[in-house]
Amino acid sequence: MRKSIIPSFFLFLSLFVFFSCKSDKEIQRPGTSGGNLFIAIKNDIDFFNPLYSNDINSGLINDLIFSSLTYSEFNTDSGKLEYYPGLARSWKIADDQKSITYFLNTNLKWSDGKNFTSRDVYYSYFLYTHPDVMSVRQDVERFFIHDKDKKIIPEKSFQIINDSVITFNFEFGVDDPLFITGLPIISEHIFSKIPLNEIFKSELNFKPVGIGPFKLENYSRQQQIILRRNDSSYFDKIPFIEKLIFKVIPDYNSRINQLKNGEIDLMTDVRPEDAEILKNNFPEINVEAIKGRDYDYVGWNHIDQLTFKKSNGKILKPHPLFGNKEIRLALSMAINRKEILEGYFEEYATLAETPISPIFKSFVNEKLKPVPFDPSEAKKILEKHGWKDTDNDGIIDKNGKPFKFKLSIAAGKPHREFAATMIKKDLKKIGIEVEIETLETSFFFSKLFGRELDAWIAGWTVPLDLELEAFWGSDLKKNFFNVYGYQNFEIDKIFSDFKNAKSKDEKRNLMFKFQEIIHQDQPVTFLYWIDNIIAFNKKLKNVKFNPVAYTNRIWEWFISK
Amino acid sequence: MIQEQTMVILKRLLVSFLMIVILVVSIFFMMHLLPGDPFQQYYSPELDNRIAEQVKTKFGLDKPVSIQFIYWLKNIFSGDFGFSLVYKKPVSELISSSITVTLSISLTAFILQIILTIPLGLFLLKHNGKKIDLLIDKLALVIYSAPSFVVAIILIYAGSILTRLFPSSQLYSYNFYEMNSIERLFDLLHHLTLPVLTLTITSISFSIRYLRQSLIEISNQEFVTTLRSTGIPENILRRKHILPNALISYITILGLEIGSLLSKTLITEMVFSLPGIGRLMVGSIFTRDYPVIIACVMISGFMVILGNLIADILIARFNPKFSFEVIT
Repeated sequence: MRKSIIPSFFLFLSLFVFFSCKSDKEIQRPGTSGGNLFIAIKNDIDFFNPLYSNDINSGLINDLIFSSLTYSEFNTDSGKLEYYPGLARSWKIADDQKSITYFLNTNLKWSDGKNFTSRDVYYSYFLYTHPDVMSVRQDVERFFIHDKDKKIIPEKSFQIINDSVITFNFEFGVDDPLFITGLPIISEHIFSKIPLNEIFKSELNFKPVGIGPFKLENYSRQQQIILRRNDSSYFDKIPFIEKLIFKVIPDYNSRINQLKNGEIDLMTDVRPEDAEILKNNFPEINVEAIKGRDYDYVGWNHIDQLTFKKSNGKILKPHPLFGNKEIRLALSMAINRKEILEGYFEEYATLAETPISPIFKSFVNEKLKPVPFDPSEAKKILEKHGWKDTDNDGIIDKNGKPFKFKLSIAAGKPHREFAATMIKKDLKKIGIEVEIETLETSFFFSKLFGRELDAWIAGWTVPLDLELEAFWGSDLKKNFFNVYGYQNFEIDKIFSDFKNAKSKDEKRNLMFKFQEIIHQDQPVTFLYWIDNIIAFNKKLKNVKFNPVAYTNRIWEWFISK
Repeated sequence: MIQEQTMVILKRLLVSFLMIVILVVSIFFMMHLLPGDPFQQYYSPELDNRIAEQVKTKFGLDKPVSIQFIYWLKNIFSGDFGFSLVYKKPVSELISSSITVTLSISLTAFILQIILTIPLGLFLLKHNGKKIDLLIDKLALVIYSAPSFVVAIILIYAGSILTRLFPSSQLYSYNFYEMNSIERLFDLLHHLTLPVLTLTITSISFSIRYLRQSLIEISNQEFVTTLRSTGIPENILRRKHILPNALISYITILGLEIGSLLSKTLITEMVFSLPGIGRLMVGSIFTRDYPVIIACVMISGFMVILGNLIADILIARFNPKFSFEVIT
């Protein structure tokens, strides 16, 4: 049968039109170009410079102005971090994981029109790792090559091959070279003019010259940050949205009112009670919860603070109440975590058993059974350790000392105030008296890091690379975040093996073992993983939030007309 | 007489200066005694805590407080307020951009309060004991008892959420920098209406009750009865004879009101997200940004002392019977 040539002609024509339009960025992707997006942020940006920016919102904004060699995204299906080309179009990792070579996009320009080259990459890492610069990301230097005086050798660590190729060389084989070399790149021609120890105070920290999908259009301190899309950004990331307006609104109620009122289009960290109100009464607003890496816990101090302080951190005597792991287990069993979760968070949190978030799917040890809520068993354990109510005053005691302590929380966190009240009630039932102490935030953290608190409720964020030594490593001087004073040398061995592990399977097994030990030792009582609830106007389309950052792939969002 | 007055004013200025010095010195040491650390921002699981130590050294905070004080004192006499530990900018730059906002809203509210309180006081005196007088008096008491943020929230609800007449926050619109001068002026007025109203209403609620009471007391004095018996019309009596006498105590209250207005401005700036001294100070207290806190306290202390000084001088000017010596 003879085929008609007309359909083939149309097919050819459509293909021709399709391919001729391929270079046109706007037509390739489904979306409407233009419009402004108003985002509420709680606090102002700290720096328009990734060398010093250390606040979450500032990090997100800087990531939109500056770019990295790759950009990362957390794959919620696989539970792993995935990398996509950014300033680099491709890369090659050495078999021994001791180096990575990037092949850069060559036709890119900074927002002031200067060309982007491998010199910028070199200089960025030179600044990040130089002690005089005092970058908050200076710690990345530990991965690179050092001389015998333990000083980094930039020329060997960041080796320029030519204008568009650069190789990073590591001191040892690293697990994730892309993660280590994923810091935002800043421009050499801007910062090389300033003495290294003056960059910290430079005005240029507020006049960014970037290469990201957006550029700074206007900054008004404590008011707003306006980013305009960067039309000369790399080809697949020119955003649809014309302007992002970050409005600095410190008061939570003002933020939520402005969202309801249409003055802003998006806000994060919505409280669960407001999420329900928004869902039920504001049809123009979408509410989405992102499973994340933030958890709350009840911290128990393992060491006797007085002895620790007097001996200048040399003598570690167990804490009279919480120094024993069985006592800690009893406390965990006496706290009805599910009741707290359902009472405050409803569906916006998940019970936590270990410090590995459920989003890291392959690393979660599913075999571990949740610590049950079992006050009578808790009481038995305490009795076994000599804690009984001998004087019938309703409070258990041992050697004449009652089991009572202060549970400290930082002010202004309603979910922690709620949890503290519930914990006080639960522990009262097994004869433990808890006094809730609310401290001003800065004071709270000063006491926490000074190891002055007996028990507290706080929260940590798990790093994406699962480097957990800072929180659980036994060296208390080095591991600043191990504020509870937990020490287990088996755990230290796991951390050391984890760093040197060659395969994902090996890493997974080590993480399983880590969780088993933590589960047994109950260094803290893990409460819950808290979702980040984001509310946004439905006119915003094609929105996909990611645990790495809610602004990930913001260039794909668009505003329906 | 004039020379004597000048001497007394100079003496008063000296006392005010000493008060500011005492205030600032005590704040300096109190701030350093406070627990907390401006470098908590450098505490991170990914970061060696030696970076925080390095930055501390850079800012001279590793030195004893007494040495820090001497450095600070030396700088302050050369007009250098220091460098913000958090904003990484000169404190004078932060203060100068914030003070304009604070002064704009507090001075406008202050002037509005005077403009509105006096006619309202006369109105209440005219209707003394009537329903309208009692209603306004009780309403003023309710507003006075409520914290200023409650008034702000009510105004936001009425003016912004319900009627959508005014923006509920920020100093200006996002496209302010694209506007011409007239548009900018209107935009500022549009944004500042609710904050200024908040301050004006809360201030009036206090001053009106005071002025009303004072007017009633004066109107019951013998000289007023005598004047009334001469047949002077009530209007003139109220405006020319009762009011000037009542104003003396009202001016005293106005001087004190400056301090209270500043604390209200601080809260109002927080609620309406305005970048003024109040918000700068509150933010700096939370982050323990010592140089900024000290500068803010110095500025606000200066404003309160200046307000009281002006009030004292005005009282003496308005009341010839009042001796300057009394206020020194």
